[in-house]
Amino acid sequence: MSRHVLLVDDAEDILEVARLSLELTTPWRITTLRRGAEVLERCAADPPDLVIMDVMMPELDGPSTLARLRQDPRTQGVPVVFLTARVHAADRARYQALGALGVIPKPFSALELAELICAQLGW
Amino acid sequence: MKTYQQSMGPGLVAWQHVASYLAGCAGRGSLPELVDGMARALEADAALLLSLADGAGRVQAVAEAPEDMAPPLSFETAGLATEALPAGIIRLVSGGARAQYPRDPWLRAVAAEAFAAMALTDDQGLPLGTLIVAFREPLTSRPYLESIMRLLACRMEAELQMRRTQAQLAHQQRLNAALQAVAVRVNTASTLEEVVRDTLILVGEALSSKMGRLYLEDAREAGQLRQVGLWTANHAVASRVHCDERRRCSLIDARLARRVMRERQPRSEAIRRQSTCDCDATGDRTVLTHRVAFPILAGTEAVGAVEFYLPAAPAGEPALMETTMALGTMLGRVLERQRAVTALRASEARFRALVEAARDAIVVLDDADCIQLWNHGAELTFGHPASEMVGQPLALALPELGGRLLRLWEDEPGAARLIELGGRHQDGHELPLECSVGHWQVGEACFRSVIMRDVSERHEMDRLKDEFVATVSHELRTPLTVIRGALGLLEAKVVEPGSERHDFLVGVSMRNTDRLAALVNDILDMERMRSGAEQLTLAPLELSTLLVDAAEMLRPLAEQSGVALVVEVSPMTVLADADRVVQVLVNLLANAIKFSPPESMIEVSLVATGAMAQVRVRDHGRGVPAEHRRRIFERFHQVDASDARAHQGTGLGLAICREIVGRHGGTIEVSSPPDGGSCFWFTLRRVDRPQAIAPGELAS
Repeated sequence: MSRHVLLVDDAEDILEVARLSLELTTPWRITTLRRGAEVLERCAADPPDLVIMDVMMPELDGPSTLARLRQDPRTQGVPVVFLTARVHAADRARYQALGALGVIPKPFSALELAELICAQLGW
Repeated sequence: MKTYQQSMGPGLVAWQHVASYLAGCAGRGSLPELVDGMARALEADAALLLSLADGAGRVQAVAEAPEDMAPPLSFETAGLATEALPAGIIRLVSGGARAQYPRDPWLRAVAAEAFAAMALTDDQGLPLGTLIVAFREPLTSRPYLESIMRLLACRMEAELQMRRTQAQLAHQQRLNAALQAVAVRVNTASTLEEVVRDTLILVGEALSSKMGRLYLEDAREAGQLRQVGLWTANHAVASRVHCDERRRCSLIDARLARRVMRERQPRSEAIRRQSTCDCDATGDRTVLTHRVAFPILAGTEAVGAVEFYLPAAPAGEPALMETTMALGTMLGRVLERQRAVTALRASEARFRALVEAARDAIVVLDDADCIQLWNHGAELTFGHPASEMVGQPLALALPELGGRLLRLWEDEPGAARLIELGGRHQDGHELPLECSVGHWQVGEACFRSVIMRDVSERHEMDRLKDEFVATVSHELRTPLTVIRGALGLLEAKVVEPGSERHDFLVGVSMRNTDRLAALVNDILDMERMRSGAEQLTLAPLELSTLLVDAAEMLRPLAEQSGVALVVEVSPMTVLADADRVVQVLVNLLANAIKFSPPESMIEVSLVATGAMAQVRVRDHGRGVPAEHRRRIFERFHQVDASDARAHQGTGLGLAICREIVGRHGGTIEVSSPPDGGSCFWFTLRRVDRPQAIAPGELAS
């Protein structure tokens, strides 16, 4: 069965390019979202196999969204990978401490995006 | 004419007289009786014993016969005996004495026709005085005269020598007493002036000095002497001291002072041009004939000199020179001490000024860990006044911080360290403090110091800087991510050329390239503006024309968005940079168009508010919430972060507008009219009004 992946970014163009990249290189079912609040709702209703999420987003940013996911028993097991420009060692440690499984640095190679994700998740 | 033999009778009688006078005077030291006895033995009409004051040439009548005669002194008579005659030789003028010495008042006074004189000398042959006997009639014979005179002269010489020795001893005792008194003052006085004043009084009394001066080397001009003090024996009238011929007066001649400084030896001299000084309390004008000067020695260096002015040659000169040398050394010590104290006070004043001017909190503890110094910076930092903190144990005064500081000192005594610790203000708010701790020892006492800087502002600046860097990084990487991702897919040919996906990838690459370029331009523009590298070209401008032009530039975009642009302006001249003002107008109008719903209207107006022209851009969009109105002009601040992407903004437009308007001396703000939408407005200074622009009023 095809994996369901939520792709979350407030930048519309990034979202579209990343979605296109994953659709062209994987059999995954991709859903795109722009707000952290939408992620919480969607995960609670239908937990995906993976959330690929931007860090700097308005209102509820990526780390806060992840923290909320971990607090909710229905979503606490959802794997999360961050897609971000903030990839300093301190940032990575913070994401890891929150429960993120990996970090994909921006800008990314569209063809290698899926490979990077799989490598970090052990898929 | 009587002869000596006739008048005296047998010589034995005369010798008996002499013997009885000598016996009568034995041990009593009575020179008048001896002189009287000699006159009687020699049947002389008058006799006079003159003494010379301690080799100084001053003559003093010691005894005379008859006693009530009160003879005038004569230098001629004294010189006659002391200079012309070798010791022990009697000069005898048997007749015509007054004709031979017509100007001698004593010979005239006693109506002398004949006299015998001899010089009295001490053991070393140095003159002590003169002994003279006078006769109103010429002498025809002189048996026993020389023998009797010599015999009595021996007795008188012994007496005079004893007197002189006693006088010298007394003089030396006075000097020694003065020296001791000065030594005491040296140890107790706080300034050189006090010591010198007291020295002059004490030594001056011992020397019978009337006036003194202190010279010191001029600190501003090397090698020059500066008179820093002038005193008189009666120092109460010091201000009245004057010289008859001030310009030429030897009393203001510093040559002797310079000489003693050069030679580092005391010296005395007669004043060539004698001057009078009314330095007695009685107002008597005293003739000052001599001066004594000695150097003030600080170590081996002569740093000044003191002069004493005397009405006569100083007595006991070798002892005096020795005494003054000791005085000079003592005064030098005082001077050194005074200079050290002055330097210490200056250093202390500098230290205090630095400590009190410092914004940092500076705290010094004594060896009991109590606060000894709590500067103004500490008062500002912690909110506690020094009066409350000085004397308090640090651990009590600053409960948490104090304990940690003390542990630092205990863990690493003597080490200087820089560490950040948390403190608390008196009002309770927390303080991040950068603490520099030190430790020093003065003699047995141990001190600990800590300089604390409130780094709240720096932390905030660091936070803002990090945030800005992160935001810029994010803003730059977003279009880059899109471009790289899209080009990667295009390069890999995973999409069909001409397909919808292909067109999307090309389009998104183009759009994000433009966005990236705009972002880079805005960032550079902003930084040039902030750093002052971008200079404004100010000129009088017709603002209404600029508004109309800017509106026409944006009219196609407005029409495309279905928004009406209405411009209502009247002529108004401002001093501004035309390109920059147009940049602000375009930015505000573009924003208004972006956020206006279709079929709505944007009104551009220009009104005068006093000396300023106010430009208003009013839209009927969703408005700016109150909490964003101040921050909306900050870099990258968005009311809704998705706006930048949706409307292709960079997040820097309003920040650039604020910089431009600010540098013109104006303000820019946004308000929300009651009927909805927003009104952005900015001001520029008018020049079509009489008010002149003060130089520097405009930010350059």
